[in-house]
Amino acid sequence: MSDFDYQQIDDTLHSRIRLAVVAALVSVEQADFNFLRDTVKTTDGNLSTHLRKLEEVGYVSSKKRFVERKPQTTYKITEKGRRALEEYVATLEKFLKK
Amino acid sequence: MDQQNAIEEIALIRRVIDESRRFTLDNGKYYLLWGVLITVAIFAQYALILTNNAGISELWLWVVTVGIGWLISTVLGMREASRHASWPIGAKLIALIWVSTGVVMTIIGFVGPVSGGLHSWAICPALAAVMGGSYTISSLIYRLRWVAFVGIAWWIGSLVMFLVKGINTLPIFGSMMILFQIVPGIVFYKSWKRNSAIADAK
Repeated sequence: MSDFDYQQIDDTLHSRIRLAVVAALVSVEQADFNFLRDTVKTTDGNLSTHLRKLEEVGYVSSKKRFVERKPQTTYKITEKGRRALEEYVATLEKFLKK
Repeated sequence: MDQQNAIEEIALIRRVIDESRRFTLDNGKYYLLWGVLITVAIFAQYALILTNNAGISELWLWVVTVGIGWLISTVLGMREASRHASWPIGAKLIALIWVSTGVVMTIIGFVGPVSGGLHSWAICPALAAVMGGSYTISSLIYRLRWVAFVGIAWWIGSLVMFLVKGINTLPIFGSMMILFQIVPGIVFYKSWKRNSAIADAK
């Protein structure tokens, strides 16, 4: 395992919550905050922090709107995020084969 | 990162994708199966009418087409059911919607005209209206907006065919089957393949 390049590991996705968020979004066109919180099984505050980080790196995009006068934010995985997840899985597979 | 971490992370990705995939569980196979079968049968029926060979052969064409469709669907359904221990509610709802749609379409397509309660030219627009409803409801379960637009397209097509009337409803319905059944089937299948490749990584 010594020749495995640790530089290949995506730091953004090397976090359980962020990885779970991206994995959840890869299967749905878009998801609201509650859906992600229930799927990822975390707190509102924790999820917000990780979603902000994912948005900063461009893996996730968000859209705010009002539904029955209440603010609702929906999230989507970007092409960059989808590619990053695919590459992350490929890296893990490569690591396991070593 | 150690080996255990890597295994756990892959397991996490698979679990989350599997859970969230309850909204996109459709692999598109049924859309493609019925889309292709009905498209072929509808254009064959149109050809039979244009060449004055309709009548009894027209009825048999549909008996065979619908029979093949239900047979393959049942085999596919049983095979998939045996592979999965449990089905998420979203997948069950989708299956229920489309099995019901198939039953309604079979009743409208056969019983309607045979009983004299429905003009044969009215079958296509009636079926298109049913398809529109099923796509629109499915869009909520899939959480895919474009699926709702497919439903609306079916409804518009239904209105157009009710206005056009006559045998020209057949090629219109056939073309709609290609655009709004086979193409969505291809999209679902490609999406399912892509997600499966990630979820099935070992």
